[in-house]
Amino acid sequence: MQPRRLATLLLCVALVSSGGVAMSAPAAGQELVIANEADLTVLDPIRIQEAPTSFVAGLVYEQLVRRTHEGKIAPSLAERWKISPDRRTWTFTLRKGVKFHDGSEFDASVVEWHFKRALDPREGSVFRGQFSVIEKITVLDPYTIAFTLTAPNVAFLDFVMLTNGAFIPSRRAFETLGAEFPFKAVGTGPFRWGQWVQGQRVVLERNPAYWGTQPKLERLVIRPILDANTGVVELETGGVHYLMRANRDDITRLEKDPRFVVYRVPTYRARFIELNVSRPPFNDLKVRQAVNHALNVPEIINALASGMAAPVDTILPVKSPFHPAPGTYTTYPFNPERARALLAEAGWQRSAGGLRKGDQTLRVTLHSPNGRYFADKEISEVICNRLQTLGIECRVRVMDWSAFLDDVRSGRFEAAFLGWNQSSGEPSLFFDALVATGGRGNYAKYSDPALDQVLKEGLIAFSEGRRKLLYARATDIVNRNAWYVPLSNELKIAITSSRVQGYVHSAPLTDFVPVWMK
Amino acid sequence: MTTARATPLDLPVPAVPRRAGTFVRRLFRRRLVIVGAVLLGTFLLVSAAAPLLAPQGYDDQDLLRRLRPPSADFPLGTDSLGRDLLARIVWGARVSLMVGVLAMSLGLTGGSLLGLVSGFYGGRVDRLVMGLMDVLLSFPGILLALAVVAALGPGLYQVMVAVGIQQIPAFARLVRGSVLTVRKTEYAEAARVVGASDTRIMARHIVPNVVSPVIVLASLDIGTAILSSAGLSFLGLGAQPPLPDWGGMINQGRAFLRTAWWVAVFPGLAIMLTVLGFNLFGDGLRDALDPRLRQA
Amino acid sequence: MWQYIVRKAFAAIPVLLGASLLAFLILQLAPGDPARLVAGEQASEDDVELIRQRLGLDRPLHIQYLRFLQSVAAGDLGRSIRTGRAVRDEITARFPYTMELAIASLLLSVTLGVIAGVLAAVRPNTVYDYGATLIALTGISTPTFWLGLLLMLLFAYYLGWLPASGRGGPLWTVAGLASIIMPAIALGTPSAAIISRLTRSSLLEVLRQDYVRTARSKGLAERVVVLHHSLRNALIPVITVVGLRLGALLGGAVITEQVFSWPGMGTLIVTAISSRDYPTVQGAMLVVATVFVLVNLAVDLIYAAVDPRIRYE
Repeated sequence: MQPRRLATLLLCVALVSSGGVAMSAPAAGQELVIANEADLTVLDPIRIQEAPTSFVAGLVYEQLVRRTHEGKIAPSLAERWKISPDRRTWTFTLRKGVKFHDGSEFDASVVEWHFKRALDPREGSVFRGQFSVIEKITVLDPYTIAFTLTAPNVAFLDFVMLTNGAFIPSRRAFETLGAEFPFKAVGTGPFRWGQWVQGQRVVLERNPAYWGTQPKLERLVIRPILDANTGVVELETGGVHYLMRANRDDITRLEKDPRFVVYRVPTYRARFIELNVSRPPFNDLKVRQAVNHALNVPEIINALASGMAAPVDTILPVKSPFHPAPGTYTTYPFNPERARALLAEAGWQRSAGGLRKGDQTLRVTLHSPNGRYFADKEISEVICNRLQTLGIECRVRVMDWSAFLDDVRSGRFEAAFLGWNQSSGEPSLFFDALVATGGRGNYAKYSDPALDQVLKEGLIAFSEGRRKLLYARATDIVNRNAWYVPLSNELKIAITSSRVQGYVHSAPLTDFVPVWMK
Repeated sequence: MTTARATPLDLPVPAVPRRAGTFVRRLFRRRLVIVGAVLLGTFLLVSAAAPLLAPQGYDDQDLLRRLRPPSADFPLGTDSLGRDLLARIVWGARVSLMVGVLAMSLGLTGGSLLGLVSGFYGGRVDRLVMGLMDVLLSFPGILLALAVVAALGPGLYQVMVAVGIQQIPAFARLVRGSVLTVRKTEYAEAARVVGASDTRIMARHIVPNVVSPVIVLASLDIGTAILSSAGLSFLGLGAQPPLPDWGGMINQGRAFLRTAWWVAVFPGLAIMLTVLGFNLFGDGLRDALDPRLRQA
Repeated sequence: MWQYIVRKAFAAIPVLLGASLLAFLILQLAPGDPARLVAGEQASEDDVELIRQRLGLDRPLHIQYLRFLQSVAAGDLGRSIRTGRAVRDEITARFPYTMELAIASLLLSVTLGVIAGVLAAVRPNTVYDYGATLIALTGISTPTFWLGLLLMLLFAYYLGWLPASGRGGPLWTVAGLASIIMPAIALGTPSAAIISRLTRSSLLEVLRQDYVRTARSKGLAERVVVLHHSLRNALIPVITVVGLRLGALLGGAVITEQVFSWPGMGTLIVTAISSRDYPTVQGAMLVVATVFVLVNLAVDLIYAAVDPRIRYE
C-alpha cells in the first residue's frame, strides 16, 4: 500500500502543477495488467522485429504518422505531409512543442538523425534493406523534413513510416544511456518507461506531459506469459486483465462467461502452404492444382482455428481494401475427384505402394514451425493426413524456428507452412515480397515477368481504381499458378476482464489511452 | 530425467554365479517385483499387439469428433485432431519401447566399452576416459541431452542419441569399477601369468563378472531413458508427427488442459506406469542379484 | 586436508574447460544461422553478411572459442545475439530464481524423504514399507512436467488455491510463497523419493549395528533408539546425496520452469537454444556446469571432513 499511496500523492502533485488537467483524470492508481507472448528483447526501434516487443514499443514510441481504427493514415508526430509533383519527395511538417520523456525536444534534427542511423550499415539496423528506397533526407527548417525516394512509391508510408523502424526515439537518450539505450524506451508516446524486471514484467507509466489526450490509466503492467494455456488461467484468476491469445476451445468457453469480453477482428496476417516450384514434385502445375483441390481448407481452419483465424483463398488478406471481389479470380474448391484426375493427368498412377510414375513414388515432406503461427503444427498434420488419403506419401517435419527458417530460405523444402504479417493491407507489402522475382519472402524463387510487370505498375499507379485492377490481376496470376495453398488470415484477438472499459478493438491499432478499469 | 539416474545408488557387487531356479524364486519373492513384472508384461504385450489392439492406426483423424471425453466408443477420449487417444497410446508404447531400448543400448555399448578399456588399461587411458565422463556429467540432468538435440535437430532418432549419450557415463563408471575389482582377483592375475592376451582376459574373465550389475543398471536405465526422452518430447523436440510419442502427446494436450484434461493426463499415466514397471523390476533384480542387500 | 582441497579444486579445472568446449562445439553443429536470425526474416543477404561480421561469426571456429575463453577469464561472457545484453547480466537476472526454486525443492524433498524413509525403515517388510517403496518408486517414475500439469489442473484451475504460473514476488511475501509451491513440489518429488529410499536403507543398515543392539538390549524405547542413536549416523550418506540432488535439481528446473513460466535459467536456455543465441547458451551452460561442479566439490569436501578415511584413498 505504501508505495502506491506515495505514487498517488506524487501524481496529484504532478496534476496540480501541470494545471487543471485534473478534470479529466479518473480515479488514481489504476493499472491494467497485460499478458504478452514473450519477454521483450531490444527496444532500439531499428532492431525491433518481433511482435511482443513491437507491441510495447508502440505504447512508448510514436511515428510521424499513425493508423486509425478505421485503417486510415492520420497525423501523429507529423501534422501534415505532401508529395512533390514528380512523386519522389515527401515533405512532412512536424508537430511543435512535443517533448520526449527525458525532456528533450522533438524536432526535424531528431527525425533526420534517426533515419540516417537506420540506414547506417554499422548500426545493425534490420530495416536498412526496406528503407533503402530513401535516397536523401533534407531538413528544411526545424519542423519541416523532406524524404526523397529513389523512385515514385505509392506505398512509402506503409513501407517506411509505419514500420517499427520508424518509431522515433530520443536522441539525447541514445547519447546519454550508451549501452543501456536498447533496454529503455524513451519516446514521445502516451506512456513512458517505468521498470523492466527481466522475465517478469515491464511497467509503463502515464506520461503526464503527453501532447495528445492523457491516458486514463496510471500504469500498464506487461507480463510475459509464454504459454497460451497459462495466460487463460491467469486471466481467470485475476492475474492479468488483457490477453492476446488463447486456444480456440478456451475462447469459446470464455465467450459465454460474463466476467470476460472477447474481441476479435480479421487482420493482415496471411497463412499459407508454399509449394516449392523449383523442385519435384511441385514443379508440375497439375500436382500443385491437385493439392489445392484436395484440401478442404474452410473445414480444416474452422475445425482447428475458428475464432482465431478465418479461411481464405488468396494470399492477400481479405481485409485489404485491394482484395478483389469473389469470383473475379481463379480458386480451387474442395474436389477430391478433380484432384485425383489431375494427378493421373500428371502421370501419377495408383498402385499398392501409393502413387507412382515409373520407379518414382509421390512423396512430400511438409515443413512446419511449431507454435509460431496459430495451430501451425496441427494444421500441418491434418493437411498431411489428407494428402495421404489421396495417395501422396506425406510426412510433417516440425522444426524449431531458426532451423525452419534456414531450410525454407535456402529452398530446402518441398512444401512449407508459412505466414506473412503486415500492419496494413497495402497489397505491395504482400505481393512484392512473396511473389515478385527476388522478393524477400519468395522462398521458392518463383519468377514470372508478366507478374513482375503488373506489380511494378502497382507501385507507381497513384489512382486507387487502377491499383485495384492491377492487384486483382496479380491475385489471379498467383492463384492460377497454384504454388500457394492459401489457408487463413489470423484474427487479432483480445480477451479482457469485463472490468476493462473504453477499449476499442481494431486490426490497425491497439490503443490504451481511453481505457479505464471499473 | 536426472532423477531416476540416482536409483542405482547402491549398485551390487559382482554376483557369484548361481543356479537360475533359485534366482527366479528369489526375484519373485517380493510382491512389488510381481507388480513390476505385470506392468512390464502389459507394456511389452501392448507394444507387440498394437496392430491388433488398434487396427485403425495412430493417425485416424476425424475433425468432427475432436476432443471427445472418454466414452464407450473412445475409452480414453479423442485428441484435438479427433484421433482415438487409446489407439495413440497403444502405438505410442512401441515408440517408447524403441526409444528406451535403443537409447539404453547406446549408453550400454558406449559406456561398457569405455569402462572396460579404462579399467583394464588404467593409467593415462583411464584418466582420459574418466575425464571425458566427468565432462559429460558436469551438465546436470536434461541439459546435455537438450543441447545435443538442439544440434541434431528434433526427431525420434536424435532424441535416442541424446539420451543414449547422457547414459554413457553411468555405464562407464560401473563397468570400470567392476573391472578394477575383478582385475585384482587371483584368477585374472593367474590368467595374465599364463600369458593370456588382453582381449582374452577381458572376454573370459572380466566380462562375465561385470554382467549382472550391468543388467540391473540397464533395466533401470530403460525407464530413465523413457523419462528423459519424454521430457525432450515435451519440449517439442521428439518424434515427428504423426508418430505418437507420449511426451509429445502431453505437450499437445497441455494446450487443452482446461477444456480436455484427458489429452494430457492419459499419456502421462502411461509413462508413469511403464517407468514404474522398469523401476520395480530393476529394483527387484538388484535385490535378487545382490546378496548383501537381500535381508533388507 | 588443505592438500586434499587444493588437489580436488585443481581437478575441477580441466572438467570445466572440457564442459566449455563441449558447449561450444555442440552449438556449432546445430543448423540455423544466428546472423540470419538477428537480421530478421526480411533482411537481404548483404545485411546478413554485415551482421555476421559484426558478431564475429565469420571467424574460424578455434578463434571464436579462444576469444570466448579469453573473455570468460576476464569475467565477460559476451553479448547475447538475441537481445544484445551482456550474457552475464542475463544470467544474473535469472540465476537467483532457479537457485531459489532448486533450494525450495531440496528443502521439501529432504523433509518428506527423511520422514518417509524413517517410517519405512522402522517397520521393514510390512505394508508400510511396501507402501513407502511403491510411493517412492512411483515418484521416481513420474515425469515432473506431467506432475506439474496435474498440480496446475487441480490447485490452480479447479480449486483456485494457488497461482497458475510465474513468480509472484520475493519468497517472504505471501504471493511469492504461493507461487513457488507447485513448481517446488513438481521438481522435488523425484528427489524426495530418492532420499526416502536412501534414508530407509541407510537406517536399516545402522539399526543392525552392534551399538544399536546394545541400546535396545538396555531397554531403551524404540523411538529413542531410532531418533537419538541411529538417525544421526544413518543421515551421513544422505547428506552426500542431498548435495548431489541440488545439482540435479538445477538441471531438472529446465523443464519445470517451462511448465510454470518460472523466470529462471531454464526459460533462458530453452529460448536461447531455439534462437541459436550461441553466447547465451554457452554462458548459461558454463555457469550451470560450474555451479554443479562446485556443489559436487563441496560435497566431496564435507564428506572428507566428516569421514577422514576418504582423503587417503
